[in-house]
Amino acid sequence: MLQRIGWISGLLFLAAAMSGLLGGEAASRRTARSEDGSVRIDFDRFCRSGKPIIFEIRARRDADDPPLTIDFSGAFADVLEIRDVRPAPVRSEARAEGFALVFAAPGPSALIRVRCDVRGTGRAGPAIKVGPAPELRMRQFIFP
Amino acid sequence: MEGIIRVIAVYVMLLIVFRLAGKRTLNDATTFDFLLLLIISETTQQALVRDDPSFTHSAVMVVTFVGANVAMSAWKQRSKAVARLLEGEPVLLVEHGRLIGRTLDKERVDEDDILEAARERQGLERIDQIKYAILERTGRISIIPRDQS
Repeated sequence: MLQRIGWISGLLFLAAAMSGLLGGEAASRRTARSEDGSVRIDFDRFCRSGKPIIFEIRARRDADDPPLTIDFSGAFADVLEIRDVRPAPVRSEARAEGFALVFAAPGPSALIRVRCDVRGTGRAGPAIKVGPAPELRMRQFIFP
Repeated sequence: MEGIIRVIAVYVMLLIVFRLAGKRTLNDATTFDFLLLLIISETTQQALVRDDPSFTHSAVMVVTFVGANVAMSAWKQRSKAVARLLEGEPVLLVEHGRLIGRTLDKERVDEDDILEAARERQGLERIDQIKYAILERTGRISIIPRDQS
């Protein structure tokens, strides 16, 4: 009986892992969008501590728009450490909480990939503000 | 999903390698064989862990390995052909005190290995005291002594 319960639990555990509920899989990707649709961020809803994740930030822009500034909240800096940004920003700026990266004319349909190391475990709510668009807060859960 | 596929691929790869290596590989392990096992485990570890050192990932890997092993043993139990393919069959090394040369060559076993097993398990000293010596699927040599009367 105990062995049967163990097998069923194991199968459910593997099914959860395959469906992306335990993070680390393409199925755990989610998208956050601004109301006007000008900004879209693809991120991992479920992550694993120590495994790098990628934020894909897309912004629609006009040709005469100023350099693009992306603000990362304090909650972002608490659980995520940026390892690589493509394309590279021209500079970074400190904020009262968090920091910002500034990109020079990334084109009319900017795509910026931010690769981060995940620290800590449990619930996280990092937020990203792209240019003048309102801040987008993402809900994440970090498995140990 | 990718992690689970990697685990199953490593499991199948190890299964094939150790099946091809023969029955005696692990049973007759030398110090160098243990070193080789350590190197193999280090190499496969890198392929499995990659950039995910989390506890969750290791739990998924362990459950997948155990699950694959349980599934494989259930398959072997249901199909004699699969069991034969994966584990081979017991082979006769000595019959009525006579060594079977071609089997010894094929299984890389020599007379000293058989005598060692005969001394350890039955207290026998010579090949002619052995009725049957059998190389089991586990790589162990079973000895059945000749009737002394």
